[in-house]
Amino acid sequence: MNTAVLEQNTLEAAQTVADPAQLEEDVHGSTGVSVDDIDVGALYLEHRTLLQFVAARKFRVPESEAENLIQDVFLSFLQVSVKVTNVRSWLIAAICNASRHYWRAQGRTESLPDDIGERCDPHSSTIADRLALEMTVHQSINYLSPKCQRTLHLHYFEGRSAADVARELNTTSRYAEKMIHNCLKRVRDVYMHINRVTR
Amino acid sequence: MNAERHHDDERLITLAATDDPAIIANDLHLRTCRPCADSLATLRDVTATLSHPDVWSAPLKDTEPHMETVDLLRKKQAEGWVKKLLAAPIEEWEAILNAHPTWKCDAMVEAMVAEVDRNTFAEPQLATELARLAVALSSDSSQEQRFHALREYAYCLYYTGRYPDALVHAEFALSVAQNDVQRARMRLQVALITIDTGDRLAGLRSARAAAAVFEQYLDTERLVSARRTEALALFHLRRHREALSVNESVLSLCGEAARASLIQNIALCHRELGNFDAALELFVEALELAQSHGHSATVAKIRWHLGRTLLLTGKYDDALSTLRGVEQSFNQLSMLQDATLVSIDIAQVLWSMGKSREVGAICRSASNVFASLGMSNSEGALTALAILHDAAICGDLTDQHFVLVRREITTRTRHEHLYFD
Repeated sequence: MNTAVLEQNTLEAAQTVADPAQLEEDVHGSTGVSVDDIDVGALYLEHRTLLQFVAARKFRVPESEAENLIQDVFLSFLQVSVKVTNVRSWLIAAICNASRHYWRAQGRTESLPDDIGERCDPHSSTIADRLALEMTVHQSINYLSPKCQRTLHLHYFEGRSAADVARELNTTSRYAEKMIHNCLKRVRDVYMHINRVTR
Repeated sequence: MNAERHHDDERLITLAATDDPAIIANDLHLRTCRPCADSLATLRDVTATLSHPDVWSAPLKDTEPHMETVDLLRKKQAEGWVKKLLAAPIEEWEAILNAHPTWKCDAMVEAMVAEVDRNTFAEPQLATELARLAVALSSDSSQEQRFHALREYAYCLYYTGRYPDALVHAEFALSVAQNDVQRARMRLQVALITIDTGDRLAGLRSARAAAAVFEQYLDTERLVSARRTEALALFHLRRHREALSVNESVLSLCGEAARASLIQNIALCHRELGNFDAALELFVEALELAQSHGHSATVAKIRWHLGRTLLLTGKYDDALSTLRGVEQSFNQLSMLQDATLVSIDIAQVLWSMGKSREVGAICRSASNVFASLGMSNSEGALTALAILHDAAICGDLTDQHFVLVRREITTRTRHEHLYFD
C-alpha cells in the first residue's frame, strides 16, 4: 500500500493540534462519518471521477496509475479510526498526497503552485468544492460541439474579445457574441444536468 | 422594472460578465429572487472556471468505475468489521451486528464465512457461533453467499456433534445450491452426517456419487474429500482393508490443511487391522502436522486415538497421561460429549491398572454430563453407566462393560470406531 497516503492522517493530526475544537467535532461531532457505518464501495463510486480528475489532470499522474492511487486512498480511508467530518475533503487531500508521493517516487520534483497554502487542506471544503466544479465543467465541455468548445476556449480561456472571436470564426461580431452566449448557456445546462444526476 | 419578472439568460450572462459588484448589489430583483440569484452564481462559477487550463485538458479515457476495485474495497472493509467483531466477547456479537445495519451485506457474509473456515478445527465453538450469525445475516444476501453460509454452518454443527441441526442446515444449503459442484458438496456433507448417524451404505453411495462429480469437474481438493468420506463409510462398515486402500490412494493429492486428519484415518485403519506399530507411528506424524497448523480440536482427537491405541497395546501409564490431557482439551473446547467419552477410556485404563475404585467417580461424573446434555440416547447411556458403576463397586468389571457403555453412547454419533470387541 502507498504509505504516503497515510500521511493524510499526519496532515489531519497536524491540523487538529492547531485546532483542538475541530478535533473535538471530528471525534464527537454528530456530522462525522465512521468507516463502520458507510459502504466504501458506494463511496468509491460516488467520488472516483473527482479523485481521478485531481490525480490525472491536476497532478498529471497517468490515468492507469491514477486508479491505483485511488485504490490506496480508499484503503487508507478504511484505516481511519476517528469520524471524518468532510469525507470529500479528506479524500481530495489524500489523493493530493498520494499524487505527490507518486512523482517523488518517480524521481521528479514539481514547482509548487502559488496557492499551495490553501491546497489540499483537509478541513477546507472550498478547495474540494472548487475541484469538483472544475471536474464538472471539464466533463460538461466534452458534451459541446467542437465549434462551441472553440468559441468558449477563445473567449474565456484565451481572453479574446467578441470581435477577435468573430475574426477567428470568420463571422460577424454580432454572431460571435450570440455564439458565446449560446455556448455558455449550453455548458451551463450540461453542468446543471450533471450535478442533478450525481446528487 | 417589475421585481417579480425573472431575469432571462441574456440578462444573467451580462451580469455574470460584469466586474462591478455594485451593479449586482443594486439589482432589486436579485435581492429577492433566490432562483435568479442561484442561476447567476452558477453562471459566475462556470465562467470563472472556463479560464482554468485544467478544464480544457483532454477528456479522461478511463471513465468507467472499476468494479473489481469496488469488490476489493468492500472485501477489505468487511475483513476489518470481522476483526472488530472477533475482538469483542462472543456473547456481544449479535448485538454488535444488529447495531450496524451497513454490515448486512454480501462482503460481510463472505468475510465471516472465510473466518469460520479458518477456525473450524482450531476453535469450533467460535466458528459455530460465527457461522450461525453469518446465516442470519445472509437472509438478504445473494444466493451464492447464502449457500456458503449455510454450508459452513452445517459443517460446524456436524463437527461439534450436533447431527440433527447439521442435517437440517445441510438440506437447506442443498436447496439453494446453484450448480453441480455445490450440490455434490452438500450431498457429501449429508453423507458424512448419515455415516456418523448409522446409514453407512447410503453414505458410501453418496460419497462415491459426489466423487464422480468432482472428478468430472477436475476439482482435486474436493475429490480427495469425497474419497476420504468413502473411506470413512468403509471403515464404519468394518471393511478396513478397502478403507485403507482408498485413503492411501489420495494421500499424494491431499493438501496440507487436511493431511493431518487423513494420516490419522490411515493410522486408524492400521490399528483396526492389528498393525499397532504402524498405527502409533502414523498417529505421531499426524499429531505433529496438526500441531504445526494450530488445529486444536484435531490435535485433541489424534491424541485421543493415540491414547486408545496405547491402551490397546498395554502401555497404561502413557495411555493415562495422554487421555487425561485429551479430556482437559475437550473441556476447554466445550466439546463435552467427547470429553465424557474420553473419561470412559480413562476409567478403562485405571481398571486395567488395578485402580477400579476410581471408576465409580468417573461414572457418576459422566452420568451428570449426559443428563445435562439431554441427548436423545441418554437413557441407554445412563443405564450402561449405572451398570458400569455398580460393576466397579462390586469388583465385577470386565472389558464388555466398557464396550457396552461406548456402544450406548456412540450409537448415532461419529465415534463408533472407538469401541472394539
